This record gives sequence, C-alpha cells and structure tokens, in this order.
Amino acid sequence: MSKAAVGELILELREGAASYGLPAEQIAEILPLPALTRLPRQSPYLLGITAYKGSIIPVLSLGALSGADNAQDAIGVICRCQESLVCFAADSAEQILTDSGDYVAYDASIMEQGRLKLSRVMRGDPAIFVLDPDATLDALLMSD
Amino acid sequence: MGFFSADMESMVEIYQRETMELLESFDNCLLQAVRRSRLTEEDINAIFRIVHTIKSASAMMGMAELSGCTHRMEDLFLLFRDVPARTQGNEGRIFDLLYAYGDYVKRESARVTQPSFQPSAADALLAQIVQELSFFRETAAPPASDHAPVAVPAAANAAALSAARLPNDEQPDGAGVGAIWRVTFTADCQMENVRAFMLLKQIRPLCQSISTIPSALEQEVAAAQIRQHGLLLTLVCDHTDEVARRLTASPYVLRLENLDCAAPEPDAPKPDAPAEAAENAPDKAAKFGMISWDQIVHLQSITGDLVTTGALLYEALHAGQDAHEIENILQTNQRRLRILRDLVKSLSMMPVADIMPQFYRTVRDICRQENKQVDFRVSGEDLQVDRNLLDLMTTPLLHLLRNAVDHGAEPPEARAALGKPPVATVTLHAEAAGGTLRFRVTDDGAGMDPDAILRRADEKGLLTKPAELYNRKERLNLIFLPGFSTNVIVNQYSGRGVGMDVVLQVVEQLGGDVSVESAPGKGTAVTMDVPVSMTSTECIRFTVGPHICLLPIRCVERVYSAAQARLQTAQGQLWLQSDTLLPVIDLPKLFGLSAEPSPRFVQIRGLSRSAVLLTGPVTGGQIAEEKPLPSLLGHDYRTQYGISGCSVVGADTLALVLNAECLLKVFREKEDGHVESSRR
Repeated sequence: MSKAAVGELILELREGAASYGLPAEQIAEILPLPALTRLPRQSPYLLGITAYKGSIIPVLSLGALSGADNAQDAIGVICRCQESLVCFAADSAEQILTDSGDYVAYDASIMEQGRLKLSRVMRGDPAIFVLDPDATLDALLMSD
Repeated sequence: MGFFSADMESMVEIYQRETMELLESFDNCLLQAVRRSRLTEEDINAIFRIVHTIKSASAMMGMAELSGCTHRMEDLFLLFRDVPARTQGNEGRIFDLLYAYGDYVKRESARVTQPSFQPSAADALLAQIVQELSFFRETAAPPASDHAPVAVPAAANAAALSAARLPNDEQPDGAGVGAIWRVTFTADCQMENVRAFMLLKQIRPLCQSISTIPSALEQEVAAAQIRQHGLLLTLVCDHTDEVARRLTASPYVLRLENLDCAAPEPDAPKPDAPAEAAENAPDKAAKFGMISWDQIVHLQSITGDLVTTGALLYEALHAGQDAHEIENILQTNQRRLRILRDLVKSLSMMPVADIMPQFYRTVRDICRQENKQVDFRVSGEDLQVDRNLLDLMTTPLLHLLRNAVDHGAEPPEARAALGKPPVATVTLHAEAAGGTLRFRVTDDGAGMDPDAILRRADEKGLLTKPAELYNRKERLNLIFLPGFSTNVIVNQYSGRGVGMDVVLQVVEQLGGDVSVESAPGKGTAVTMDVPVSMTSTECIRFTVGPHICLLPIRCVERVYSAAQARLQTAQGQLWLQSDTLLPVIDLPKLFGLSAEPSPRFVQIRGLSRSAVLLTGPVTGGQIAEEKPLPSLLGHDYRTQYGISGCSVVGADTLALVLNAECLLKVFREKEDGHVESSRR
C-alpha cells in the first residue's frame, strides 16, 4: 500500500454505485466530458483520445477500468500522471474532502479494482476507493 | 561573484556564439583532414585563422588559460604554415592534439554563460601542445617540394622566429622592447615587396634592430611570399607605439598583428579550481543557428504581407463584404501562411554531414584503444533533416557505431585468421523517402547468434514467454531489452547493456522503428526508421470507417477509384495491377472494421517498396500538424496499425496520421509470418 497522507485533499467521484477518490494535487482540471476520437481496436477502458491544451491525451473510463459496465461518464478529470496527462471519465464529481486517516483495513484483494490500482480505501457510505493514478497508468502500460 | 567583470558580461553570449561557430568550422576542417589522412595547406591556413581568432577573443574576455593554449597552438600552426610538409607522416599526433584542443575549447565555451563559471586548468593540454611544438621544431623539415608554391625557406624562417621570439623573462636590459608583428597588405596592393621596403624605411630610424621574413625583399618572389604569409617583422625599439602607429597609418596596410601575445606568467596566481570537473559540463552547449540576410528579409516580407491580409480581412468583415470576397482574402492568407511555414521549416534544416565529426572521432578513438582497424564509410550525408530530429538521432547513432566497432569489428589478426581483410568495414547510410528518414549502420564483423542471445536473455530472466516460442527476429530483438548485454567484459564503450535500450527508446519516442539483421561471422545491420518531419506536413485526407485519416502527400503516388482499380486475388491476397503488381493493404480490415462500401485505392511509396491502401472516400487535402499519440498506447500500437500520430482537423475532431513505411512494414511482417508458418 502506498503511503497515505492524512490531511491530503481528495476529489470524490461517482461512477455507477461506487465512489472513487483522486488526489487533488494531481488534478489539473475538471470539465464536461470532452469530444472523443475513437482509435482502431482500442481497449475497452479507453473511451478515446482528445485534444487538451495542445496535447493529445487518452480518456479512460473509471467504470470500465474497475470492471463495472453501467458507467455514464459525463465528466472528465484531467490528471497529471508522471510526466503526462490523462483524463479519467466519471459520472459526476461529488466533493473535495480531507483524508482523515480512517481507512478500511488493508486487504490485497480490494486494492485492485479491475485494472485500477488503489492507494487506500477511506471509510464512508459508500467507501471511497482512492486511486493511485501513477500505479494505475504503469500497470496499463505494462499490460498493453 | 562571477568570473567576468560587469562590463564584459554582455559580451559573454556573443563570445560563446562566435566561438561555437568557429568550432564548427574547426570540426569540419578536422573531419576533412582525418578523412584524407593528411593536412592540406588550406586546412592548415583555416585552422590557423580559427585558432588565431579564438585566441584574440579569449584574451579579450580575460580567459588566460584558453588564450594561452591557443597561442601555443597558433605557434604550432605557424610552423606548419611555413612548411606544410612538416605534417607529413605526423598526421596522427597532430589530429590527436587537435581533438584534445577542440574538446577543451568546447567544454570551456559551453560553460562560459553559467553564473558559476571559472576557467578550467589547461596544464595537461598546454604540456601536450608544448611537447608537440618541441617535436616539430626539432624535427628536420623535409626538403621543399617543387610543387610547393612560394614556400618560405623553412630553416631560415624557423631560426628567425625562434631567435626573434623573446620570452618575457629574457627581455634585453636597457636595449628597447622586442616585438614580433605581422603586417598584412590589402588584396589590391601589388608589389608587396616594394611596399614592405617602404615600410622598413619609415620605421628603421626608430628601431635598434629590425629583420623581416622574407628577408630578401629585393627579390620578386618576396612579393608572393608576403601576399601569402604577410610580412613578419621582428624588431627591438624603444617606442613600439610609435612604430605601430606608423605601420598602420601606411597606405595598403590592412592589418598589423602582434604575434607575441603574453603567455600566462608562470607565477601568476591561478583562478580557484572550478567546483565542477570538466565532465560535469552540460552535455549540450547553447545551440545557435545561422540565418542568412536573405532569409531574414524574406521573413520580414512575408510577415508584412500577413499583417496586410489580416487588416484586409478585418476591413472586409466590418464593411460587410460578401463571403466570396472574404474567401479570396482568406485564401491569400493561407497561401502566405504556407510560404511562412515553408520558410520557417527551411531554417530548421541541416545536412546530416553536420553531425559526422563526432562519429569519425568515436570510431577513431575506439580503434586506437582496442587496436582495431576500421574503414568507416558514410553515404547520404548531404541529406537535409530537421535539426531537432538530427540532434535526437545523434545519441542512438553513436551507440550503434560504438557497438559496430567494439562488438562487431574483429582485431586484424582475428580477421586474417577468418580469411577476412584485416581492415573491417563499418558503414553509416542515411536516406529519406515516403515521409521516413532511415539510418542504417552496418559492419562486416562478428555478427550475432540469435540462439546465444536467447540463452543470455534467459540467464538474465528477461524472457516473457517460453524460449522455444521466440522466432529468429524476436531473438535478435532481445538485444534492445534494458540490461541485456552479451559482453562479459564491461569497457568504457559498451557492456553495460544500456546502449541498445537507449536506441530503441529514442526511436520509439520519435514514432519510429528499429530493426536488426545479423548472422554469425557475417556482420550486423541495424536500421532505424523515423518520420522525417516533426512539424507540419501536407497530407491527403480520407476516411476508414468512422476514422478520419491523413497520409503525407509525398508518399502518395496515385489514387484509384473502385472503377479504375484493376484488382486480382492470389493466395488470399488482393493485388492491384499498376505498372507492376502491387499488394493491397486493407485498412478497414486492419482497423477491425467491416468492409468499405465505397472503396478507394491509394498507391503509396516507401523506402524500398510500394503498395496500395484500400481506404474509404478521399475527401481532399489537409495540412497536418502532427502530435504524438499518448504513450499509454505503447509503441506496438503505432507499429501494428501504422498510425504515427494525430492532428486536429476541426473544432472537436482529431484525425489519425498514418505512416507509409510503418504500413508497408506491417504488410511485410504479415508476409514473413505466412512464409515462416508455411515453412513450419
């Protein structure tokens, strides 16, 4: 489990019935889902690519990455991952909250949700699966 | 506190830029000399002029170490200028010295703009130069050749210069000041010996002693000698300023140079040793480019035109002019933008030859270190390539050349035992076609054994599938894996397993591809293909299912409609009858789409073959400002589908930019796969 920072700001996103968190410090922008261009034979979790401030960035569906199949994907969250930008699509952005350090006990089986790599799971109703965007991207690169 | 005084700081960048330009000329000159294995008179004169200018500029900047070394280099090349034949048979040591000198000057001038700059010590280099100076002064000059035009008599010249050059601690007591000057007359002077005689007459009353080279001014041959080398004056006088004033005020005197610049005093306090060693100097110096005045004038002109059309457009919109008139203005604007784009693009082009000096140097250094003999041949160096692209390709090419010499080329004895010529051949070839730039490095050396590579990769735990499933090409490609090396011994050139990984990384980042062919005992060939231009490209536009695709127009030969295409099927492959039978690459099928209802056939040309793309309707032309695909897709995606990047074609629309060479490669690999499976 990667280091959890008590006091870190987390953006809570909804995707279907699940809640996901993204570290606020890695977020560049939240916007309506941008216009997408699909690619030949693209992976199911890749909604397409889009032009963002002069670069071409991938748009990934949180729902598809987690293995869910009822995603609406109405908004895009532009994230800085390592040296590139990635857009995570979700149904909605709920709130920004502060990590209180109250986590669900670590269990390797829940630290991976489909292709998502998590850093921790914050207690809540529903629990918030906090993404590790860098590890998620690394895993996608390795697998593809 | 900086090294340079406040009033010199504004000059530092200019000094750096000018020194870099001089070093470029220096490198080119040295490269030509190394290729020829000899120094011509033109080389010697050129190098002399360059070091002389560097000396003067460095002295002006207060860089005593650099100017001192350069002063001694100038002395050496003065010897060579006087008798160029001195260099014969000694080229190796002269080239070594020139390389060492060039390296030192490059390092210093690269660092000079850093706030913490302090000059590096140059003791070792200075010692090397002084050693060579002693060697060449002591070496008997070969007899002057009959072909040598107006050569100044070597012995007299050397003796005169040696006698005339007064070290600072050997000034004659109370006997005036010694000076060594060169007088250069204007090009239209004529009768230089007579002018020189008149000069002497003017200054003789002021001098205790005076001598000239050439000494016999009354002889007609002296005129040609002075024209070529200038008039060397060695004199002792009380008032050098007055003598200099009279000389420079004389008619036809173009220039008076003081050849006896102060060398660093032995007891002068050295500046504090720089905190960073020379090897910490930045890998790249500040880069400057050359733009001619014609290009600047052209830029100004086209910029002015664009401002005009911009104003016309503004006026037209506000005056409510009709759409047709506005369209005309927009088309004029587009035309001018294309001219501007082409002009800016041309500014960033440079010939492949510009990166050759370091390659020759690398091959030479490794050969000397490892006692190998290599004939290094280059072709295609006139090719003009985007400067940024060429800069990025330099590192992979250096790696490949190091490998070719270090791993590939066998020592002469080993080659002889194998029945090979003792001198190995390493070639570097550059070419461009169909939107792709290709570099190919080959050697006729030891070659690689795919099975040995597989075993080594297995030992290092680098395999990702069972060993028996790796075909020949995949086995060879294992050399690109990080940490792979078959070298048992790590030397300064290779063995750490990082070189080929870097090659692959750089090429992939450029959207290109690298492949290797090799056979034990027969040598190796590594080919790197990268897209030619990193900026905008004129393309044809067509659809493939829902995808908008762009293909650089330079690789398109022809477009056929379905009615025009003469198609035939053989062995499951569709072919189009053109001048020859061309394979058809079915893009909808490649992209996983259903058959195209309104097919078109786009004939493309790559580096070594042609083919035809089956596409949807061709919708026109477009200038593609290509941007790379997200790295998440991986390099394999690009090579599997022949997509090199994307371009914005509308407010919310991206098009896929295709690469002809990649698509041809996809087809070739499919063919090879069929052949290999049929063999099994």
